[in-house]
Amino acid sequence: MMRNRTAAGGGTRKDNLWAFLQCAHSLLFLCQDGQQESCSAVLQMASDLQIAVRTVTVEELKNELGSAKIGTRLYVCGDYQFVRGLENVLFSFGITNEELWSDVTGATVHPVLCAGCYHRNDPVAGSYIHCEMCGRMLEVSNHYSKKLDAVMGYIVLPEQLVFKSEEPQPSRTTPEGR
Amino acid sequence: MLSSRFPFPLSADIFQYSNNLRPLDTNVSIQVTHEYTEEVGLKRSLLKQHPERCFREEIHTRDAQWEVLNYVLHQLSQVYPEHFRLRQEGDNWIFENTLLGEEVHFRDLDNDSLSCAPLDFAGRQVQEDLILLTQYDDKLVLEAGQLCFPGNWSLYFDFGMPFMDIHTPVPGLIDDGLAAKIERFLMRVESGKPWTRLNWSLNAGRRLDTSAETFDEWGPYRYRVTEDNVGHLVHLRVEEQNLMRMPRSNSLLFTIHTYLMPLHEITQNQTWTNRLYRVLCTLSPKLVEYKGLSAYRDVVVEYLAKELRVNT
Repeated sequence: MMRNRTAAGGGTRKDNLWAFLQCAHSLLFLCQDGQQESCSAVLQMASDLQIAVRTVTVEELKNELGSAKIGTRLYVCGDYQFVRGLENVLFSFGITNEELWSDVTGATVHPVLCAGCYHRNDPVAGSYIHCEMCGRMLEVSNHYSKKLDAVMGYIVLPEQLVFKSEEPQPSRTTPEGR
Repeated sequence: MLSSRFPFPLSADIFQYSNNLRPLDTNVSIQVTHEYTEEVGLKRSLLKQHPERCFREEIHTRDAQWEVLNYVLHQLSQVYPEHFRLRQEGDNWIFENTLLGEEVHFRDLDNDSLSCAPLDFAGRQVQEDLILLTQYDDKLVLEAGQLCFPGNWSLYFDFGMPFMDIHTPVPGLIDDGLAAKIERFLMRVESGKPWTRLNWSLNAGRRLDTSAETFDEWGPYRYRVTEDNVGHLVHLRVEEQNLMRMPRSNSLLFTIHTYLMPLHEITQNQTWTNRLYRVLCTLSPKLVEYKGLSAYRDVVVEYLAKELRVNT
């Protein structure tokens, strides 16, 4: 599955990507090793629009930023950790959302913020966790904060759970209550 | 003499989310009711105990916050001159709050002249929660807020989020495209033309501070609602939300005044009882779950039905 940040504003992914590239005079292209196949559509579209594409490494990208001209756009692609790490660097250089398109490949698993104590729990796959800090049971939601880079872990009450066996396992996919 | 007030939120027998904003005809966006001292006291106590939870700001919003402070204090002194006075002496502003016996001196745009951030200060004078949305990149972003009485959400978590992301948890609001339409509507709100809407839910227990952070304190009461206690334990919770453009900063101020009324008082009004009964009977399963009513909706419906039978 591929997700991209810019498409969240509406329109199809293709439309939004087209709009993003149309504003570009040149494109700095950075793709994590092994993910090149995911980027073929982007490269094709850039070619159709006759945009100069320069493939760069992470180090080259950092160096390029200082001398990049207005109209330069950036494209990055890779797994979640790769893209998030790179975005943090790029935003610290003053790159804006309008100048960057990032595609995340594979599963996106975010840290989980405990609603009760604000502890940021390590990313986990699954619907429920116990907070590492306060021990509260949390429902892992899809409500994501970019600022905190975490999804909300809502407090689950014992009353909301139905125990199916000796192991406490929630029987519902979504506890009632929000 | 402070007034009693309870804006009944249901205007039809069926409830679904819609853009129910309407012009605020009176231009009174701050309501001071007879619960003022109690509720402002509670807000200040929560702010002291849980500052991270109740107040957040991006520092670059300070000018916009000053604009809000200016707006709120002028509202108070113009609408309730018997309780609040605002006057200027040279560079100094003097705000008098006779309900709390306070007098504060400050200078406009001088952050050092106040004991806290301007939006925080404004919020400490009113029962309303105050949320400031800035507008850029064709979207609205929550960049400052004082929130003491949330209806099961978290300012700490939602701080810094665009309007669309804030509403991810509301069933259907994003997928149906309604959130995007409302955001577009809000972005066109003009200065001097405030808007208002009512939002509602039920609360098990009389508690204004129903934050996501404290769900394990107030949530369990949902499971303690019985045929015997429903009339006193369950409250209709209404949020009167006003929205206005701050012309200088172009930000939007969103005020939320929360009201609670126990069901046994609601049932004194036959029309209200009937309407709430019908809405609860027809509420979609997703909304029943989202509003946290699954555990006790049936008890409430049965109680309202009984009251209607008694009174007809």
